[in-house]
Amino acid sequence: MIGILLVTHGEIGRSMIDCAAHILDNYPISVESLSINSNNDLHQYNDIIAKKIKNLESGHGVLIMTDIYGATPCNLLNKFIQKDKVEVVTGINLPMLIKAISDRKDNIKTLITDSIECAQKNIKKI
Amino acid sequence: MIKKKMKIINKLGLHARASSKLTQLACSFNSKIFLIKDENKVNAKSIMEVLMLAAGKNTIIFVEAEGVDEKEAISSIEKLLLNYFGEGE
Repeated sequence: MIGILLVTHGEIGRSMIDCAAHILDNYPISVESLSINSNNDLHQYNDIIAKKIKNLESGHGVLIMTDIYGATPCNLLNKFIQKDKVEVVTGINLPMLIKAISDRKDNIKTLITDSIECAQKNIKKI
Repeated sequence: MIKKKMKIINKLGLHARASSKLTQLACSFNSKIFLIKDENKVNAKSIMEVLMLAAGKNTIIFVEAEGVDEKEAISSIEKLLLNYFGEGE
């Protein structure tokens, strides 16, 4: 199963996982979060991220979701990207996460495409 | 293939948790199952597609199933709707 890691400002990631679990009535497996505080020493996060990726990797890759493109949590992730193994998407929203959790397949490319499409589809003026 | 008209009668409509219940139920059948509202036809086994219907209380939908267990699928989904998704109202 593809692992999913949310690396975000504050507790957004943790809260999104809790909300997804509430909606899906099931706590998702192989999904973790990491809260980044840019006032802390950022080097400490490298080891934590590496460990989390290792924990989540079961042979099908790890998809990392973050919130703002270009912000500190996002910038910390660049060095961990490995094509088709560890990938990063930005602009996380709850639909993106629920889509990724509920339609998780073993192909990380498809998972990325489907999750981004779902996230975008859910941004509408009503 | 069976297609049946149904009404969403629970107070909150096809909201997130209700959609999740419907999706989980749909996934327990082998048949292909679709929900249709107006021009929109979505896969009943995908929660985010079901949510895109934004079907509130009193919305009329059509449930379409095709496969070996299509009858059971339609009747189970109808039962879930008639049971207010287990929400009591």
